[in-house]
Amino acid sequence: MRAPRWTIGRREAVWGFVFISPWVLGFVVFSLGPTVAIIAWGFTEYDILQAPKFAGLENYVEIFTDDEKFLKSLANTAIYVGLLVPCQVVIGFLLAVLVNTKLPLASIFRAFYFLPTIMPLVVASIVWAWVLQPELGLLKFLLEDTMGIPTPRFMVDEYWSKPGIVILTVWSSIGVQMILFLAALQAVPPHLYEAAEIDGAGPLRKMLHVTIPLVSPTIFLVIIIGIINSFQVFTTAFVLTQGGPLDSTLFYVLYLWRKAFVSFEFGYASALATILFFIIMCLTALSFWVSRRLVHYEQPES
Amino acid sequence: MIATLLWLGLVVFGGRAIGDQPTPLGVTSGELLWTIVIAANWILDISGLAWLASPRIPRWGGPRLQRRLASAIRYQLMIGISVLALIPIFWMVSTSLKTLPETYEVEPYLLLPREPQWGNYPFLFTFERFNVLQLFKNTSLMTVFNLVANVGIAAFVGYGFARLRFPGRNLLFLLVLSSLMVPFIVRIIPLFVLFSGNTYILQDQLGQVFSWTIFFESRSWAQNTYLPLVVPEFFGAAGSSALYIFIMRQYFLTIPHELIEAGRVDGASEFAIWRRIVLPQATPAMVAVAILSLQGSWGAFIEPLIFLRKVDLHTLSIWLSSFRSVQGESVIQWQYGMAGGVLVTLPVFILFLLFQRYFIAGISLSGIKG
Repeated sequence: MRAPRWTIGRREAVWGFVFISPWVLGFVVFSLGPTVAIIAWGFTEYDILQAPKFAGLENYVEIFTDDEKFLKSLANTAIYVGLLVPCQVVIGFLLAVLVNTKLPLASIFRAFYFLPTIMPLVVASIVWAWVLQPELGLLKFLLEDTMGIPTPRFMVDEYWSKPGIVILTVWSSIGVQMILFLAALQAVPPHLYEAAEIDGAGPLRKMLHVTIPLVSPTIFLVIIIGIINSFQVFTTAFVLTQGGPLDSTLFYVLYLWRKAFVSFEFGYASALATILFFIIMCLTALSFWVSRRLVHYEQPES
Repeated sequence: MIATLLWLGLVVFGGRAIGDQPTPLGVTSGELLWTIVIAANWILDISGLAWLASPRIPRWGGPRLQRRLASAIRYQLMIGISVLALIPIFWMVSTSLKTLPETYEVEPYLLLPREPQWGNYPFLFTFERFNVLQLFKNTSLMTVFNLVANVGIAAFVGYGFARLRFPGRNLLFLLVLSSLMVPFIVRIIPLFVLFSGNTYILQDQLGQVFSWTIFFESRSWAQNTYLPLVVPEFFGAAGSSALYIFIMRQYFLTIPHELIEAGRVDGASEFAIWRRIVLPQATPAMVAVAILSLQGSWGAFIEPLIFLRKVDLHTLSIWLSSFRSVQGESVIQWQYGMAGGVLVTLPVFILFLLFQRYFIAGISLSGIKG
């Protein structure tokens, strides 16, 4: 029995803490702790077999002054994110508009577009490695052999390797963006369209002045998730190109992974990880700041 | 209509005409492609026209013909895009049934195998380097553990955040969501150190506080185990745990407060309320979390890659990724890679077909993946 002097509110609060306690423990041990450890190890030299040796800013000095691969991988990642996220937003939105209909069979098409998303990413990568294969791939056959369109050599050309990975990622993730936009489109109240029609708005104006403002929170969501996820791209590059040709797909996390788990320079890798964390935080903060000006949030009624 | 025109234009202006390569169906590959594309379009166009002309369909608000034309175009686009979405999957299945020489044939280019090699699939289980059955077992075990952990912990913690008032709740929940920003590599490196069996380093640093780590070290059982892949999930601290908690919380918020109050009036403890009253109502959300978790761990790649450094502990994903590089042979055995891909994809596809609704509800609630 609980002690009677406990008020109902107090009792509820205690139970509240009981319910969230597993998460608190996990957060401290597996999220907060590691973050602190990573930041601390960033200032050390650490090869995991011996205790870390304090090295001051040595890692950071080396990263910023004497590490071409750092700059290269950062630039690669930035280009990749810059190519991928707009594609995801635009294609995802257009797809959602396309399937946002009550026509018969539309749900089957939705399921079709979602199938690639269900596929494990490693499988998708292997399949696309085969489809994009420069001599034997299906893409080359469909474009070049049957129609005479010159096909870029996606996996071996320095300039086409990143677009190749972008195509694969769009294919395998577009279902998620489609579903998100679809939910947003279906939440737009129909009376707004009716009002716009009475004002003489055509389909384009309805799209620009009704749909897009009301869907803008989802656009923002897709952009933020896109940035956070694609900045950490690893699997696709690891399977498809292993960083190659000429380091053109050496993305940041791939480089970090090599430093940590291939050459076991944990101090250096920790410094790199700290920088990555910092970049992602800044980009997220920036997106939130921009969104305050651009995103329209519907005022809840009553 | 559109697709036919597009295809025609590309062929006419594209220079080289569609190939004269034979296919197993007796016609050339070009003719086959042509026939499929054009037949599909004809069927569509005719049925579209029939539909346009049919008088039985009720009038809609606007000009009728325009509306119907619009939906005909919509169908065309939807079909065209479906082809793009499904072609790689078709190619995977088709390649998985070819022989090795067939995968390397360019003249003629084989869209379908001459004779389906069903034997490719059983052959996968006879590899020497990888015991595929063991890999299936490993992956399933990990998936099941993670599923139980994720559903249980998300339902438990999510209820705390949704329905119990305590000071600092909103701030803490913000912390849950902000943990999504932590890059996975930041979590993995310390986890690797912790579980690598070299924990005496931690001991050196922290004095005797963590003397229990001697246990880890002496037995070294933490190295090369599934622990780092499973333990964080049981504390809601894995990569996507925050999203699962979020999904459950959002769902619990829709459960009427009166039910919980009624439980309290009856003198049930909060735990009993959660277990008896709230949980039975939350099945849809729990199924959604279960499916997302299942799909996530089934295809997990980087964590197994880092933590499991012995071949017999590997998961299916790691096995598949090894097909990309030549496996001691002179050529890549694409047909086995694709057959493996089919095997690994099949369970999640079936699951998707069975639980499509929950899948989509889960994703639109949380916006995860991708």
